[in-house]
Amino acid sequence: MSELRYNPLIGEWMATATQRQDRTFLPPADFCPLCPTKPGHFPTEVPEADYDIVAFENRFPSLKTHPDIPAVEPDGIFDVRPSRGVCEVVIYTSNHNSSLARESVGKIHKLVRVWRHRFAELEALDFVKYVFIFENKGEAVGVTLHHPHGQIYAYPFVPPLIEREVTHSLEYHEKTGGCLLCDMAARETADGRRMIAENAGFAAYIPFAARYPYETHIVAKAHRQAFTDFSPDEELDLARILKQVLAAFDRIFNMSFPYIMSIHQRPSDGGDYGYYHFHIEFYPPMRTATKLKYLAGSEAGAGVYINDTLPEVKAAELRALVEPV
Amino acid sequence: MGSLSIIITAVRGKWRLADNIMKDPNQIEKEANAEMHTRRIDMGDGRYLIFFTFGDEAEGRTGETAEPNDV
Repeated sequence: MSELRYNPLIGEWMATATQRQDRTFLPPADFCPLCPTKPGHFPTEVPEADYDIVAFENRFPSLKTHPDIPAVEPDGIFDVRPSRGVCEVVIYTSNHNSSLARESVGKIHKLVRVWRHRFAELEALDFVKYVFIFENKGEAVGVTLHHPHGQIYAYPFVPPLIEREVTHSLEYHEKTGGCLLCDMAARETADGRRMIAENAGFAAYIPFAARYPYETHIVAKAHRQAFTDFSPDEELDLARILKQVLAAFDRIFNMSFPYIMSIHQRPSDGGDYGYYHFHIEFYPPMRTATKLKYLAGSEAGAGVYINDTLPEVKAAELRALVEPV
Repeated sequence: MGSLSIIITAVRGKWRLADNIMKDPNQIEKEANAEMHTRRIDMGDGRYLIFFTFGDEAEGRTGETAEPNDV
């Protein structure tokens, strides 16, 4: 059973997905459902002996193309609707023990092209209003499968975080005629204290108001709204800077660094979002080699993040770990 | 002391090597221009799966060897 329920107090939709209670949870490597199906072994989600990149519908989705009928009726205050959407899994390596950080620039570039393909195809569905591409990496952020993979949620509404970014970008555009994130990225690049890496197409930095010690944003230098706006050179530049940032993450504590990767593109509801700007946000939960940043009272209860570190200090640390690609 | 230094250097070298096995830039450029192919199959339970392959790989094995994992 899954459905969307609306919280009128904060103006946000949430999803129930009771079937996800039974999803596969940290299986041993021999029973990984994302590995290729080897001859004589149990069938996995990928029915071939090897693959390069695959995308498929999640067996335990929060959103479905043909959703269930909601368990409750709307009553004027409590709104509910079917959880119509698409949940895909994207596996970018058949190597169970790899990670995006350990893949080559060439492989990451292929993944960028797959992201573009999936964005274009999913946003064309009439019930999809936002295509959200993301990766949860590491048990510290709650992964249930160790095999490296990303996910795509095609929502039937614009998610609240994106809506806030859209609102503030529009306000800035109406006030100045410019793009908020273009100007923020230009300021970061000129200042330099929070920069991590850059190339012709992209800048990577810890933002001025970072919520996590190693929160990192990768921002397109040219004014772009979505993957479908990128030139071939920009796609390759994105792959290069992703490799640099992810490899630097792994070098911080000499460990496979956990993170949430969140790709922010314009909504797909048919509106004009020329003022919005493509970027990728990373939320790594580590604040030291052995301590996690938890979302506690202030963060979870009031929405006010408290960062125990200075972005300028953490950026210098990361910048020193970046190597050329 | 000398042995310890060699061991530390070797361990660090292994880590760095794993991170830095980079392809020839010309090879990356060639792959960047490779045509992307898709093959969609029905998984038998109403779900779809799409295989993505690139350039010459489309005709044969599709996987790419990742860097060795020593994390």
